[in-house]
Amino acid sequence: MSSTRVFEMPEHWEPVPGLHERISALIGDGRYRTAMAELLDLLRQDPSNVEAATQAMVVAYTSRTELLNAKEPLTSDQRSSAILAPIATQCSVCDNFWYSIHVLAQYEYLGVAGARGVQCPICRYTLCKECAAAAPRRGTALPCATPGCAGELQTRALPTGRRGVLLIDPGRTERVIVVRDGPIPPEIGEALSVVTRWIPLVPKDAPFVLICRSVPGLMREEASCQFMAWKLVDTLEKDTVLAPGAWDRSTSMRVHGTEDDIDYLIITVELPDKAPSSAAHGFLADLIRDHLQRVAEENPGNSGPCWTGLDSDDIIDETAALLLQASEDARKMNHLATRMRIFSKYIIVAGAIPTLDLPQARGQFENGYPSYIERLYENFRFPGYDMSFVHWISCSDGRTTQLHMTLLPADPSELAMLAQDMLEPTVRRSLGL
Amino acid sequence: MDPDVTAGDRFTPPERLADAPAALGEVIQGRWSVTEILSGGQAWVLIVNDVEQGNRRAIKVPFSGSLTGDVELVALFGLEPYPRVVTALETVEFDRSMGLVLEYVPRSLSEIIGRERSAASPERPAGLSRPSGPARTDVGTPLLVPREEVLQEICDGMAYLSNKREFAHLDLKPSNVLIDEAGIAKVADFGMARQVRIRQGVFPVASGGTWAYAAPEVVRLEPCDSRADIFSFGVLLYEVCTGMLPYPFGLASSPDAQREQLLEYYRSGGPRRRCDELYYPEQIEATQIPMPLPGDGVGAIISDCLQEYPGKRPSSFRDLGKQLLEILGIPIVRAEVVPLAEIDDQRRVLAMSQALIRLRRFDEAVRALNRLLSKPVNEAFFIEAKQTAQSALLGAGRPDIAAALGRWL
Repeated sequence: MSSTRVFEMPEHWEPVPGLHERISALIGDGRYRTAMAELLDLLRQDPSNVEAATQAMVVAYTSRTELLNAKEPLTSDQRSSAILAPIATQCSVCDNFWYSIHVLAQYEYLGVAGARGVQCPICRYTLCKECAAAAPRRGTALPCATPGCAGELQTRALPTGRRGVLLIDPGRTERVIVVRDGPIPPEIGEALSVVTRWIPLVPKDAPFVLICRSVPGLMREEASCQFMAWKLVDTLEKDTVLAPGAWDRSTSMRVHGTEDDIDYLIITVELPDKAPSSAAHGFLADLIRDHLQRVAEENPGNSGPCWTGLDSDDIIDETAALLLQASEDARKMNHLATRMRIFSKYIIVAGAIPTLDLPQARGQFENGYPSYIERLYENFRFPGYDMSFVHWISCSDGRTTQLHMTLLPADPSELAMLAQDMLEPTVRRSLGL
Repeated sequence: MDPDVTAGDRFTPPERLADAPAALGEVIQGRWSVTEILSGGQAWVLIVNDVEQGNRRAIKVPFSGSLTGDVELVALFGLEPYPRVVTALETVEFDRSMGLVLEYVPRSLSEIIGRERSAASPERPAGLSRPSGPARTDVGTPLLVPREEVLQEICDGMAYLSNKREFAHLDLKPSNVLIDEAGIAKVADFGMARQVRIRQGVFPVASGGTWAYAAPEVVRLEPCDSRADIFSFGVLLYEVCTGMLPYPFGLASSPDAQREQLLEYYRSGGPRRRCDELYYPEQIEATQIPMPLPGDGVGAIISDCLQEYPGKRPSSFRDLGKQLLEILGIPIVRAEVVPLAEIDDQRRVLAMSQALIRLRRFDEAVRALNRLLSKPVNEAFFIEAKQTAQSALLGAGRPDIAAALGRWL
């Protein structure tokens, strides 16, 4: 899961229409931050996008002097984003890294004034300016320190990648759990600042980040730190926040926070592999499709992005899998069971009730369904992150299954829907339903 | 003309001793016996004897409210003690403000420059001849300092500030460089210091400084970084060589008028010509500086430092130190960080956090206190630190976390 990815300049690549012009215009206007945000978004989706990588190199290469009076300078979080790790050049001795654009120049020998460091053209052994000043010289030359390499370090520096970055597929990430040493958990901004340094995510991925409280002292030793990681994942799995078998899909890393901060434990949990489609899964997926079809027929002209996205095969597959897990839990426990997943732009909560009897089903929601959904929404919503919230309820007696759905779109102008059958008759009457 | 006039200074300094926070001979909090009272640009400085430990200390008490003191306090306590930077030890509460206990360093570079300038021949301006005592660089420029290594020590202290914590001092001048009994320089006075890392997507703007030593971007109140300090070092170096400031005019006595003069100067072609005059003294007649310097030596370094555009100045104090070595032959000096005893370190973090809370920088206070509470501390200290952390959390709008922390034993 973790290795150093290094950008190599290919002979040919497909340009992204309009990207160069857009980024150039933003740079011309001094809006480096907006330009980099767009490039980071693109590279998060597609790390192999050569044009976005080269544009990012140019933006990240911008000197401090140019940024000083820029309308929007780059932020330090952007500069140290793990998404840019493949295009970074890192010192082989210390942790210093920087961005150079020498890979874009097609010259093998390139004299560079004010270089940030030097590199061996044979093996890419690299020294930053500070380490180079302290390195032993052979006359005026700096010999490469790699055993067996006869190269001499030069000012032309190509990307080496950044060490320690966890290379994951953001699209296959279930949750990122963040724990900070000490008794005070971080705020989401602080957590993101650390997470995006080591994992290729962007601030928009905040809903995937789950901040947990540390047990002071446990992060001092590697073994106790690992125990805490396991315990957290296990607890979250039992709380149905994570899908079963989460520990086997987890990778944990202990990293240092920003300069005035302290150690963090970051646990990345991958999404479970898709189980081979079972008959039960297929049946539930068909039920979901039918339900959405019926709602669409009853509400013609309702074509907002939240509703149309809900109909995609990926979302339906994911929802069916969640409902299946919740149904199994509900059967074992003989009461309401819930599973939750963030997927694409949706917070999907799947509830299963082991009965078809509606009054009995309603009775599962303490203080009534509106109050339950309000609490659920408050717990899981991520203000400012454009996430729609969907609650599916499966009522089943083992032979027959009925589905109900509540949908709260991120865009309040889209049609919201409440699972009316889950409302007590008095409530329905008071709402005029 | 008073080059040391600081932006925001009261035009008429307060009467000596009238508003002083303590009287001569008074023993503050049963520990600090006041032996001398001085008033600086922005603060009283009490020279005291620590009757408990038998050390001499300086207690700095700001004139105007507590904010100036708190900014400095945060800057000082955020730094690990370093031999080239004056160490802050603790705080002392006075009736109206907070005093900062600092290591005592007897003299400032400005006093030494003044003394050496007086010692120089009156009919020949200081700097052109070698006064008795001052150091001389390898290229022959006499310096108004007893040891030329002082310049490297300033660079080392400033490099520590900018490399370790990304601080810009923004008020580097001879009176803020102190010289200890052994003649070693220590950078002092962090009232204007700013962390220059981009935090909220912008670089900081300096809030003043001493205009005579300030870089053009600071005078214009534009965003700046530690290269503004490189400019100030250039002014300081010129003064160390000549006893004068590198301007073709006398500076006005009020800070506002000084700033206007300098703004006008930076709108003219004078600054560019000044750099040329310093760099090519043989070819260009000196009209922008009161006295030429050898172009292949110290003049070239000052010319580099005084560049109007920050990108043309030496990029760091480490680079500047190398230039002093390569051009003037002044050996580079590096000091080692001296770790403090754990309890002293913890007291400094607590004092810094309290200052951060007063400055309403709650998030930073929370991080510092979390760091403090992540390690075992004694019970009395733990309770104080926990209560301070709760205040910081409430200030940061996190009442639920503050309540949870209150339940934590």
